[in-house]
Amino acid sequence: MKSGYLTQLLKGNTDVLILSLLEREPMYGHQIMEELSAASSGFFKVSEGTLYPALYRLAREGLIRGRWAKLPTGQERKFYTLTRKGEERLDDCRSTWSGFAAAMNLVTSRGG
Amino acid sequence: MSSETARYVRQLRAHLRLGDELEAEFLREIEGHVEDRVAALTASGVPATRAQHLALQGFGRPQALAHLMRQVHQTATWAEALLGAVPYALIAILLAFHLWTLPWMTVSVAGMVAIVTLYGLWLGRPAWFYPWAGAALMLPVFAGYAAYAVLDTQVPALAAGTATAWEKLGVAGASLYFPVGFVVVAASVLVAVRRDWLDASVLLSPLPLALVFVIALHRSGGLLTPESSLGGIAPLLAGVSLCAAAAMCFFLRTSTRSLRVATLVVSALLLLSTATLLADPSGGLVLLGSRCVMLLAFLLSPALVARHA
Repeated sequence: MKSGYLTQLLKGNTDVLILSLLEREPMYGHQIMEELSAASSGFFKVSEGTLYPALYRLAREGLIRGRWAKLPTGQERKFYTLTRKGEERLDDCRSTWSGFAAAMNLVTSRGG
Repeated sequence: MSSETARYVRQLRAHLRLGDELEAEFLREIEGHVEDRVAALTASGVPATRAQHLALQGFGRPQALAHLMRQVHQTATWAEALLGAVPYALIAILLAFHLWTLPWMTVSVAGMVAIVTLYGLWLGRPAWFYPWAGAALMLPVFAGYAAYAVLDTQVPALAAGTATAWEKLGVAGASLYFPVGFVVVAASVLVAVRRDWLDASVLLSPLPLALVFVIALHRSGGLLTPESSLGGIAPLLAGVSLCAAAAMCFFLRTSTRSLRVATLVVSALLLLSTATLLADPSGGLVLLGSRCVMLLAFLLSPALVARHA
């Protein structure tokens, strides 16, 4: 039950999590996965099979942009950056999330 | 790249059908990701072979990942869906307001269709491309009718031995046109089938409309003395085109494949049935049924081609 609920929550919020990470700095696919896990102390783990379709969908909607660049090691990786449209979407999502979380806490908190 | 990764990439490529450029970029990204993941896993003490396996496990089955990627690229945005519906809307406007009788208007629209189609080709065949390419394929059908008109007027002179050199040249050119036109249409279908047979069906979907238009044009005076209402059928064809535009918009916005197939087939059959019943009420159910079967076979023929390709 717990893992099913978490999976549903994560599924609905993968886009926001990716946009939030890319707001900090441009990142490539593997880096996004690692950062997401590190930033949430290992709580959020997104598989590659979820991450890449989400990245391509966000790019297609014009919320992020991908560009190939070299790592210090000389290997090339596709770095994603947030677009202006992506920043606006992220702001919208944040305010919706605050309202949602506050309302959820009001309803689910015990002995309120 | 390890043999396990190479096998995964090969299987993924076989199912992606996103177009060469996009596929190459995605697979390059995947290979880079596997490299990074294997490096991270081996650095944490996982044996190399096990690391390769774990790195690929996260992507899931290649067929499933390819399906998800196709869904991302096949589902059009509203702007793309509306752009995909434009060719049908243009045909409706040309017919409803009898603008198709103005040569400069038809040439302008044909030019626009050709330019937008080439632009779509250059962009790597986005979701809105195939309805435009289908409209572009209507041009060979119209040119085919012009070739038929040349043969119809010049062959009697040729048979009587009174044809001039220009007339003989016209007959030769018109005769050659049909195989060339057929090759153009067949080649376009084959190219589209390589990515997805449903794209090829969309490509073919405006052709029955073009055929009905040509038949109506022929019955109402031909190319030289056409009747602008096409014997009263022009408003009907305009209505059918407008409904086809709405169906195309819905088709492009739909992400479920079975719903897409159903939209294409049901809208084509409904529009054909309505048009046939209104334009030719004396035709009867047998004629209507046989036309529906032919239309169905025509629209779904790319699926058969894909199976044997």
